Amino acid sequence: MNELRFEAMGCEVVARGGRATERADVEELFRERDRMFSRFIPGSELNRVNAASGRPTIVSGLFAATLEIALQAAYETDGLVDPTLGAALAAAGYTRDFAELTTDPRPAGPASGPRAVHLIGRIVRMPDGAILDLNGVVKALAVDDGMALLSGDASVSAGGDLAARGSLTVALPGGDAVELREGALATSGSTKRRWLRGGEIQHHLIDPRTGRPSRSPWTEVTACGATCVAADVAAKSAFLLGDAGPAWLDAREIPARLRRENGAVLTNAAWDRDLREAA
Amino acid sequence: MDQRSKRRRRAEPPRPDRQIGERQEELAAARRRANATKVGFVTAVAVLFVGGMSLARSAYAGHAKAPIVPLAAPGRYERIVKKNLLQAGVVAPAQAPPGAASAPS
Repeated sequence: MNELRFEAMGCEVVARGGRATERADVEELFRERDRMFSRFIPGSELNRVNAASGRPTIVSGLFAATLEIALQAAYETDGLVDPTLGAALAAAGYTRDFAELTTDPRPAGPASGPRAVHLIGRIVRMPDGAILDLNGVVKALAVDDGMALLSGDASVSAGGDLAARGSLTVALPGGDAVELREGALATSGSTKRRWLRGGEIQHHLIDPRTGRPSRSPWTEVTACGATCVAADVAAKSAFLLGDAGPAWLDAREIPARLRRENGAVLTNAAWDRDLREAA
Repeated sequence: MDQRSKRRRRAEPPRPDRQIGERQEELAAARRRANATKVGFVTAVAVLFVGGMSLARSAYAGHAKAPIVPLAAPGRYERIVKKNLLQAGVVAPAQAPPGAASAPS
């Protein structure tokens, strides 16, 4: 199957299937989203909105739609996956592109929790000092939107986020593999984007209850959603919920596979049921 | 001239010209007021009639006054209710070598 590989949003993106022009469109889509939503590109729309915190700002339609999805994710996860934790990420030291992050002996900044965001149509208003970070939702949404650009059996993968049309066998952390029959798979974890600050390991999955990088017992959580956004939000939520994660996923019938620091793997009831029914 | 008129003419004091003039002015003013009232009344009736007709045309249930739309909840409300971000996908046991990988990014 023909494919196109490129770097965007700090990870490798692979578009498989479709026509060459469609794959080029997928690349352009990722580049556009990166320019719009990156915290590390000075002129991005996200930075413009963050700079205007405290007063109403008119945003583009795409920005408003993306923020609406991020707010919906926060609502459906009871605030676990929150788009306003940019200040907490910055306090943990995630202030530049991950590839440029270095060990920083200074202690982490003060913890910072979620803030209220108002979105009415295309008008955004955040409290003074609030910082949006939409990266998680943006990447997963770009995968979903990229898939829509490809015809026939195809897949789009961006880092751990992957959506496919037509079944696809996917390798999982720790060596297993599974067939993705329908929807998307996303893996969230603390093993990749991690760095040292003040002698402590920091990572990008902030627990909104503490305002600090999560101390989850899981290192990687892989979830299967109808869309990549669903899979990504579910995986992050389960990671942040720790031991309560599998039950939370089962309550929503979302198949998931969770891996501990020692390599032990746990699958939830929805995952086991899917495998059993397909066998 | 009949007897009655003669008696009235004798009973009425003679009127000076000034009084006659005032009386004519009063009559003219009264006529103007009456005309204005008539015009106002007719105008008000016309306005009420036209307004009533317009309201009747827009409110009367027997005719479609605008493109017909089915009775339904507002689109925005429907979108919010139907939207369920956390919908599950489907996995199955692997049947072939992996063609892709999912890992933390």
